[in-house]
Amino acid sequence: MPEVRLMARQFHQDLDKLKDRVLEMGAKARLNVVEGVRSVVERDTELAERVILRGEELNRMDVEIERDALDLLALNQPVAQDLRTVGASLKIITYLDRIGRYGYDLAKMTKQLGAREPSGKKPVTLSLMADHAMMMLDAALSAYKDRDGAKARGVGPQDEVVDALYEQMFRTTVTTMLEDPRTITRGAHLILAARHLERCADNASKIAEKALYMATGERRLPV
Amino acid sequence: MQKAIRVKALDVHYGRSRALKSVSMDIPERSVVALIGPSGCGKSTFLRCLNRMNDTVPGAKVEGDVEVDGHSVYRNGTDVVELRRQVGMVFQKPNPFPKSIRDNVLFGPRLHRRMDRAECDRVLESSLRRAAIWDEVKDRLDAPAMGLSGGQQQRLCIARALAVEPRILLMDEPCSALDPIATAKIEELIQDLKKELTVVMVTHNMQQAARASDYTGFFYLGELVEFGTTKQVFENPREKRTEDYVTGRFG
Ligand SMILES: Nc1ncnc2c1ncn2[C@@H]1O[C@H](COP(=O)(O)OP(=O)(O)O)[C@@H](O)[C@H]1O
Ligand SMILES: [Mg+2]
Repeated sequence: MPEVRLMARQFHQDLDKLKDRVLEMGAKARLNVVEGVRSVVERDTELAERVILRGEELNRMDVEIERDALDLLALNQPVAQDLRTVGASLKIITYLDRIGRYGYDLAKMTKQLGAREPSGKKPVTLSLMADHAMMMLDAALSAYKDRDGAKARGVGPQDEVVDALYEQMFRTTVTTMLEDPRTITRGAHLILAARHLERCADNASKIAEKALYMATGERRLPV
Repeated sequence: MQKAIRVKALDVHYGRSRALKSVSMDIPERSVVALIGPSGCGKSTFLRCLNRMNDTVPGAKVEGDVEVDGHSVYRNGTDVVELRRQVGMVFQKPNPFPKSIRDNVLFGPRLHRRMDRAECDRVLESSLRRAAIWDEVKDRLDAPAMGLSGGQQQRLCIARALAVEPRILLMDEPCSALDPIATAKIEELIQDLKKELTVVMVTHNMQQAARASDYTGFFYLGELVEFGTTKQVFENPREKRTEDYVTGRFG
């Protein structure tokens, strides 16, 4: 069956391309979060502007990759590992779209707050949360890239760290707001920003779950 | 679940070459089993062991055992004619006899028992209906079977196999000589048949195995590499060799 093998080879090349596109989308989503959070922490409205200008890019990639993935399904009826790759990719782009959206929302927040509000202390906990969430995202995407089940399994437990940072951020911000009501508007926004980052970490965990499924066929049920 | 067939450590030699290597498989009743694997891996050999069709192959030596409905078919004193009534077979190329449609269907039942006119008509109609071909041939039952299309001939052969009321139907690449429409008809028919009997089918078509079967066995070089639910084999095969074969990464 030489023609069968030829077609399989073409399909596997297309599948590799699909994965590359997903990883490319991952890099863009990551950049949104990194720059979005930096714009909040540093009160950098110019940087925020740049993130916002990229707003539609992820959306477009989401639609394009979904279309390509569905084409692959329709034309090749993949099975086994190949099927799991397409299935995982379809889910992962949704999570990436959300992560990128949180970065976008952070940038919007910077613009809304502007320079009017009093600054207060620099919210470094937000940077910490972002770093940790992005480390989870990196591990999840690298597990996806290399079909590395062990690496994927390592991501979920990291979520607790981000949750703990969120609790801490919440408590200290509320305390500050009580002490100085002029910080309330900014404080409320910072809590929301922390919430966004906590959600980014959740979505990174979800990506890791899909990478695990792709690599091993194992499905994690919610506990 | 009740087992229709239990295969235990089956070994087959053709002369000195070993075509099956200690194959064991339990086949649940009223299920469809698909056997897949590259050419020459032993699928047909395996199928033929289930109703002792290898007995007639010169040089073939079968070791191990096959139980059909709890009875060993390789023990001394097995009535091979009765076994083949219970375990029918349909081949790759439709092979109707050069006789009328009616004579094709009634050939088997007449071997096994005397039947009056009314019973003949009853068996004829019900077999052709079960093979989903009655409506196409009911007005020309005495026409030659050779005048039918390939797909119709294959369904006629299925009707012929069903006429003796088998419990198990073996099919060796039953669709590979048929066009997609005729293939779809046979696949639909298989879904109906499994309400009453067990179907074991060899297929070269992976999509067909995925669509039409409940269990899938993957053979390679005479070994049963993997046997599991079709869902498991196609979504998450346990063995690397299965994975490579079903995803087309072979060789
Ligand atoms: N009648 C026979 N005589 C000798 N060797 C045979 C015979 N039938 C099959 N073989 C050999 O046994 C092996 C398995 O063949 P077969 O069961 O027909 O495989 P498959 O159906 O998977 O293509 C092959 O190597 C084939 O050459
Ligand atoms: Mg064969």
